[in-house]
Amino acid sequence: MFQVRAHGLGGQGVVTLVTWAAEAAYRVGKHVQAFPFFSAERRGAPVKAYLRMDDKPISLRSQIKKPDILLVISSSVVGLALDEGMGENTKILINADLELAQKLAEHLVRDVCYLDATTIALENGLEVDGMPMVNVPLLGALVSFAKIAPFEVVMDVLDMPARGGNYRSFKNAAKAGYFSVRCTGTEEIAVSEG
Amino acid sequence: MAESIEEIEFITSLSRPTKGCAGDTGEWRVFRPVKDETKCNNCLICWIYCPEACISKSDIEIDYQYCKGCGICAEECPTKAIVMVKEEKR
Amino acid sequence: MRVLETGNHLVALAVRAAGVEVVPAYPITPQTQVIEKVAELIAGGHMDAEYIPVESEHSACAALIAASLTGARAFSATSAHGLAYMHEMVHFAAGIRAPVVMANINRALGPGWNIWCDHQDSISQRDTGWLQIYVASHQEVIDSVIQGFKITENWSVMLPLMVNLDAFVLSHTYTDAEVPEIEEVREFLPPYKPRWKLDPRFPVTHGSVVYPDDFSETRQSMQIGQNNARRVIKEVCRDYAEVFGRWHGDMVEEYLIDDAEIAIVAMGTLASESRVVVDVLRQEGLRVGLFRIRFFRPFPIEEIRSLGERVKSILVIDRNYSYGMEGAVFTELKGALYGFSNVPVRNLIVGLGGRDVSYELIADMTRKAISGELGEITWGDSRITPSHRVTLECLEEFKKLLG
Repeated sequence: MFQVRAHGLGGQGVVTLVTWAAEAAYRVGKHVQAFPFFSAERRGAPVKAYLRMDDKPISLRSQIKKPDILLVISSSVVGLALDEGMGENTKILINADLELAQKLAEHLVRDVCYLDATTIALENGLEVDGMPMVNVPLLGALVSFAKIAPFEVVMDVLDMPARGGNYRSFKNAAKAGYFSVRCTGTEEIAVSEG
Repeated sequence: MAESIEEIEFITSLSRPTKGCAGDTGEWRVFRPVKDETKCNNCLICWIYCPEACISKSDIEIDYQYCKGCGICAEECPTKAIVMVKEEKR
Repeated sequence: MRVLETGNHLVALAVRAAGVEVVPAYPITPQTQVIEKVAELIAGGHMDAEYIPVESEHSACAALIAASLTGARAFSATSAHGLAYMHEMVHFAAGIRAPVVMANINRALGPGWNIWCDHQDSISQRDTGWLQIYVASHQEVIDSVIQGFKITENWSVMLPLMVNLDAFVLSHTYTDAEVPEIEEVREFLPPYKPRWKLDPRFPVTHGSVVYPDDFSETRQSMQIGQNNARRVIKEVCRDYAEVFGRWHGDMVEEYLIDDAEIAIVAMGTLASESRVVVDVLRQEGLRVGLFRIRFFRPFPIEEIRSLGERVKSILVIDRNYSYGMEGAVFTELKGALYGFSNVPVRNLIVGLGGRDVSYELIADMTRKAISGELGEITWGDSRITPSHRVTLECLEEFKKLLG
């Protein structure tokens, strides 16, 4: 069983991101569960979403306190994300640049993996109503970092949503996300399987 | 005929509309509607209004076996062709 | 057809596969995407049915009954306050013996306003005469809707059936599931053949006055229908497994009960979570089993008496509360055991208003039940937060104001 908990803000596409990642896993034959914690959703408010993947049907239904990956989509919810709990082996993946990731790593005394998804989204012109579509590069990042599926599967998942926008932008952003997750304490790209 | 609920099994509130299922309701009547043929213009308003369906459409005959004597026909008749007459002791 | 969908959409796809002909529903909160999806399928020409949007849940249930009485296969969906609002018609549907299926997304009843999962809404409909299934997985949602029509339309049952699924945990969570093809289902579930209907060729009155001389027997007949349902449920679930290869239990579902010393009894997704508890505690050497009540009505009396003979103690998890008494499943289970077993039974109240219940908590409570530390009734996840102190602060202000 592999578990992910994602924290972000309303409007960032947190729930959509987790659903896309579930679909990627589903497409390679996994049993999946993707669910948000619903509340009075509104733009800008903190949002939580969960993802479970396994080779066999999943009986667990509760929220995820000790995820394999803690995905932080906005640096403004780092505190909330940490308060919700982590396991000893939880890996942190944050939408941030090197500087911010290093600060967090020092604070937590553990390595932090990061991707500047905001910059990637904006560079590729992915923006909706003043919000960068960080979920496109982060989908690539999550699918590669969690070793869910090869990059082609990311594009299969994004095929429908990308038709509504610029397909090339979606592809470039997802690809940049897939192949450029880095972690503090190393110069290497975290995952770059084909 | 089945004698026990186990035999019938299925009992619900299904019922059938049948003529006279509540008995000869004409016996409840105190006032009897009487039609004056000379005033009646066959407009059928009495037939429409009769709540007990006791007035025939074909010849505007009142069925005294079931007419309860409510007087609605007399009230509604535009030509005052129906009047209510006190029943004689039977 | 394998799909990745939410529980809500899976209900809609099952409704289409079941060949439903009329769907009356109130489409606004607390309604879920079940009806949104049904309306979309019909509007897009993907489902041959009549969708009737009405002005309230009370009317939705009235239209549901009326549609069924014309001889159509009818379905509706609701949730929480919607179900409460249609309560009068919920009784009516059973009393008039309309073989309809309704999905209820299990949510708490306010106040305080709460859109999250517990079983208070449908437990409050316990005595209406409906059959009630509580499902534990997305796959079971689909299969239960299809089984549901086959059970309720059986001429020896003819009582409406409620498929209860946990809000969010099932209703809004995406999961992979298998939706059977319409053609496949049609063979298992042919078009509805009514035992009677509203038909001008033989006009009848239905639902009219019934005098004291005749009333009690109509109610006794409903109980005969519930009793007959026990047999029909077993047949339908067995046949369904033969055709579709899927089994979720019939009246109940057991997991590692045979050599268990303690049985966890639960309904809905807390039973799914408890399956993990059984695995975890068995690794610790504790002989724990899971007994999932699938049908709450008719209540699995025989199955529970058999359970009482096999285990040494029982822990009943209730995601509801019958005020002035205890958890409703706890009461019912003890009632079934009366005179048959003296096995100790404990009651765990958890997960009200959607509070997250982890397998760790249930495991902890089960360990306590085994060691005899658990009281008769335990509010297992109760704790005081700063929000709770607000009441106290208000009371202090009111004391100044009102004396």
